[in-house]
Amino acid sequence: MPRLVFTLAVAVLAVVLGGELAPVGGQATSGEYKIGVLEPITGPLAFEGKRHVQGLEIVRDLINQRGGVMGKKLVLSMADATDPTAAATEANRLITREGVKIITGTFSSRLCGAASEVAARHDVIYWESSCVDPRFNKRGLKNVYRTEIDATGFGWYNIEFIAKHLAPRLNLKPNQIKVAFLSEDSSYGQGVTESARQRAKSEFGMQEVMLEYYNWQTLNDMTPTILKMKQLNPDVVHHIGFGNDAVLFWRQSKEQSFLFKALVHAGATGYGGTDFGKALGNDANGVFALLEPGPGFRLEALRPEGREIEKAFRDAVQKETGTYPFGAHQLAGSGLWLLKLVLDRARLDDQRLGREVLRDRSERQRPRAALHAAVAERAAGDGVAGGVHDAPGEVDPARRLGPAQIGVLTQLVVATVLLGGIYALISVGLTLIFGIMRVVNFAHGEFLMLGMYLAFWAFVAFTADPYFVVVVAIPLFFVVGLVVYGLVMRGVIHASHNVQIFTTVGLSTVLQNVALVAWSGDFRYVRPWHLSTVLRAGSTIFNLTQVVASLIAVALTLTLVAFMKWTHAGRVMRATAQDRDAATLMGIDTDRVYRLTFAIGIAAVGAAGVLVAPLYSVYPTAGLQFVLLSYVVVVLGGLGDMLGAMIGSLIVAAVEVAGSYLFGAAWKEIFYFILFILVLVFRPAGLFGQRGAETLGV
Amino acid sequence: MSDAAPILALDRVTKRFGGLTAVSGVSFRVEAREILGIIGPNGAGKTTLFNVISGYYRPESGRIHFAGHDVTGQPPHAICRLGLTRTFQLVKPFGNLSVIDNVMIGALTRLPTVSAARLDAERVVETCGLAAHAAGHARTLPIGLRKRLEVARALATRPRLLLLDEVMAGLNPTELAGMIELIRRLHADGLTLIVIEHIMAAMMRLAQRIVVLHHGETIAEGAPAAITQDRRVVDAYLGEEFVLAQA
Amino acid sequence: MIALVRARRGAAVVFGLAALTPILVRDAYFLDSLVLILLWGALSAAWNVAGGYAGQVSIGHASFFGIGAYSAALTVTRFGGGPWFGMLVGIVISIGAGFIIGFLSNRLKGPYFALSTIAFSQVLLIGVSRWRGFTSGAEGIPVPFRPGFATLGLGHVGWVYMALAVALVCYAVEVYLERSRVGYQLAGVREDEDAAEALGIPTRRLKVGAVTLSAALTSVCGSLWAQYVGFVDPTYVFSVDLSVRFALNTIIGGMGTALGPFLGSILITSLETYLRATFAGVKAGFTGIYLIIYGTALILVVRFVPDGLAGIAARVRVRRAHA
Repeated sequence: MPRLVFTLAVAVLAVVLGGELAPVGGQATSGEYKIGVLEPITGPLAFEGKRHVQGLEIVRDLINQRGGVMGKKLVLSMADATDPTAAATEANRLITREGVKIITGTFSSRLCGAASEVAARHDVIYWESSCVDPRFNKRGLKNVYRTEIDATGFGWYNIEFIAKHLAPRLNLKPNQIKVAFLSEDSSYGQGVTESARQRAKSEFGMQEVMLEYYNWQTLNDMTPTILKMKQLNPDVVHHIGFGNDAVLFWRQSKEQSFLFKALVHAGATGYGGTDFGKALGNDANGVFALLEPGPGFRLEALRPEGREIEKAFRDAVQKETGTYPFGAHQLAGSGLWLLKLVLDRARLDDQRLGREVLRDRSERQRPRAALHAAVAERAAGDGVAGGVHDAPGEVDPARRLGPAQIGVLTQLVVATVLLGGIYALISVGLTLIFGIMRVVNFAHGEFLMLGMYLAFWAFVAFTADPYFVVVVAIPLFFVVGLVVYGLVMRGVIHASHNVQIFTTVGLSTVLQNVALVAWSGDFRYVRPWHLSTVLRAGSTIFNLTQVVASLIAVALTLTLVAFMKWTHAGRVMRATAQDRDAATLMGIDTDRVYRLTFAIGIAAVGAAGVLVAPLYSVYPTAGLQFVLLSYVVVVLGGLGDMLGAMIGSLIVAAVEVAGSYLFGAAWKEIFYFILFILVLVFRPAGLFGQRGAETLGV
Repeated sequence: MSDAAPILALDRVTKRFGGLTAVSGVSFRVEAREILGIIGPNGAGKTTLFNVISGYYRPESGRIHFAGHDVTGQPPHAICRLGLTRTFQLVKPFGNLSVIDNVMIGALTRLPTVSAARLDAERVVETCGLAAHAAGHARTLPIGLRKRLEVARALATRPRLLLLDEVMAGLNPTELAGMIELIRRLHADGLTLIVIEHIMAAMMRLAQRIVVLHHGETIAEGAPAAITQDRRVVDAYLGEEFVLAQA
Repeated sequence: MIALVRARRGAAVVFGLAALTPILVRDAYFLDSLVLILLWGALSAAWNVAGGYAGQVSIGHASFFGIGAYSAALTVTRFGGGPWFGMLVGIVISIGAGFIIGFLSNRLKGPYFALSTIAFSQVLLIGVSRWRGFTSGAEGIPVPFRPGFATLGLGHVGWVYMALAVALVCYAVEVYLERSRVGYQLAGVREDEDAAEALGIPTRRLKVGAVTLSAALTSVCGSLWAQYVGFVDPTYVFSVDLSVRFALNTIIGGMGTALGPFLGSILITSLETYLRATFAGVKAGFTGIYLIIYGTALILVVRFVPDGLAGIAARVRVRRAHA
């Protein structure tokens, strides 16, 4: 076996080095003009990069149908910018191996930042179509161009809109408007929000009542933040959302009767994405979103040539992907088209391009300002649903509901209990596996992710409700558990810690990337009809999906506790956990015990994935946030103590909810990570485990 | 009892684990160059006592004096540097390292360079009869040689007092004789030893004085002959058959 | 000297070839790949100091990498200092962080320790992302390129030798840990802590020392990386993926051997760059496959070939010697 591995390694190396040394490309054959395309085709940003590539390829075909670039056929040389290191390397390859003089891409500031530096060093033009980092073209690099307004622009226009179009309708002067800033935490959200805040304050004197950032990926409940905002009573909410968070906020604000006067957003994600409308139907109306370009874009405002190419583009995208163009398609495609126009006009492709581009700029800028106004006009005329109140003096209905403080506390407690239920559900499988087998399985989150995907595909294919799918999921994942145990886990039970750690880390990598390859990195959503259903008790809201998840968590835990306590198999499992060697001497087949344990644990976590799928976005790397969370719960609860784990879940949920409410949603994960480290250091047996128990076997 | 300061003195040492008192008010002295034996039934607290003396556990009360220092609560490595080394009941060889490397690591505590330590280790390996296996990995050794390695490694740290924890367990009669011979030789070279043993035949041949532990307390202390006839010791541990066999 | 080279034949070949390459090959992309191989190799070797030699397996070494990268980037962009000074700052801060992780390593064993290192790196990630005022938050920091040695604005050839220098330093540290007194004591700690303690080895101090040294080396590489790639953002430099990568290279190459991390890096980095370049144009499917290969390789190697490539090479050599 080792000899084979070694030979294989050498063979791979030979192929690779041969490939690396062999020079490729150089400028394309005459009659062709090659430019480089740098997009994330793999990795965490691939979902967006893929659309950019689609847009580029479609426009490339349109260009070539219309005579190409500078009279030559346009050829795109692809490069995959998975992360900043790859971006720099691949930019290098495009320049030195493929010999391109222009690179286009790349939308994420970390990628375009790195790649454009490389391009600058080689005097290659960097034609950026969608990165919004304001600093991108302020670094003193002469070779970078951007065909997209930056985040400052977004924020700038949003505030312009609020000050010049919303304020009069609300009968308020701009400096009387109270704005709450809420945003997801990526570089995009931060960039837009910060520039908006700046303009709001310095130019219009608007009152900022709140500023809060959050991680949209780990968010499944905005109740604490909404409750806080209710008390602050803003007029306008400036919310930059990414995906599910927009849906959550809009929906939960209604549930909590948080009636602000208007919500303003910018960008083709979150409120600006097609998913928002799909999720909420008619309820989605009322958001003011700066989309460039978007459904509000008026074809009629373009010149005839523009109209023709835009229509051809939209048709091609519809044909290729089956949907109306996403923002990503538009940005990349129009960036490329602009490049063609500029190159055709200038007939050169080096630094002198700068002058030509500048000349063109003013013409392109005009349609944008018109866009925003058009949206505002239409909204004013239509009598908007859900958002804007016509009479500014109208009493906030929420205030009518009684003593505000008690209501808030009750709702927070409810949020904690329900969140705790979800976390318990996610952790119960791990508690069992960890408790009996004493193996730290780093791939735990990936099984949850697979459960979520099962719910998604069942929903897409059969419109099956997750509550029915879970019935199928349990036996299915039980079998999966048996298989994974036989293939992977059996060999490592008795092995050293290192082997266990790296085997499960390897398993986690494999599962993540199988999901990525099979289903792409797109964010998916499972939205059964009952997702928005809420139960009310007085002024307190209970989200039905969360309630069901929590109840099932309790039921599952109690079932497993009963199983462990009163059945023979359960007793055998507990015995094995306490002393593996003694169990063997008693005639217990520990291998069978572990196999059963693992299978039950995986069945539990797979079922959990199905049940929580409606509450989160579904994507291949979703596992990571859950695995750490589960371990916090398990360690807190004490090494396999089921009931302890339930209490651990409540504690984690309480830390999260309280942290979100008091300090802001941005910090919630930090709180439970720090809690985790503290517990590991001071009470590694957990709150309910026996002191010293952590040295048993681990 | 000599008047010179003892090399080790325990003064009412008590160790508790939650509700369980493993060692209770144990006091005794060990004179330089003597071999002290500790016997007692399982669970009497013998290994716990070793752990306390060598610094792995901190006693709830009482003090331990070694070679003029109060070593209560000091970490094991510091106590080793002062000259007290212990072995483990369940041997702990550095499995993936060679026998000579195992011993050398012990020697490095006293010697500053690897080369000097290696020379010293070769000497110790020779003394302990492991020369034929010096280059092999420690994990390939059978139990008898592992026990020797445990002793050799401890020896390389040049202790003044060596604590041996059931070093005879699991040895066949030949290995047993060899081990007794080794310990005798080390003692003759000036080493002080405390030996925990269950194999009374060996204990009788080695120990000059014996302390008997039961439920964490010392129930008897004295010369081997006296101990074997002590009623309490016979009831608690030795049994009538042993007395008869001795007679 | 000759004896040293002969004893470390593998290393002489690897580093010698690396040193000769810029003379023989002019292709910038190839040199670029070489820089990455050496840099990831150095990072893996730094990880090996804690993981392979001291037995403290961490999956959070990106913490130190990020600290080094941010120190360099912030020193240059915010405080107008040079990247070398930034590197020094990074070393100091990462030593502090190393103490924390070292403390954790004395309290926690095996998988628990690994989990806590992951949590630590995520705490840093979130903290840096939020501290917008100082670190520019999630937007990251573009690091300007200014030609010159003092500003680490080197050409491709310059970077090859820079990376080679760092790689050699890390390699030398590893070799020192194999042959020196402290290295042997560390081996004892790795094998059996209680036994080592009984032999007079200050195990806790040694573990903290190894982790801190590992942290400092990782930080240096992070600072260099920041200048090389030119953009530092928290989601990447503190990511779990990076942490896993350092460990992955070492395990496949041979944990606890000095050349192992570099062998692993050669194989993995070149495979990755090759696959990425070749399959970039393919729309679906093949993208991401190389990660599946890595994951599977990790599972198989750690079970069946625990000595990694270096171990295999050693065995082949032994077999040939006996033949």
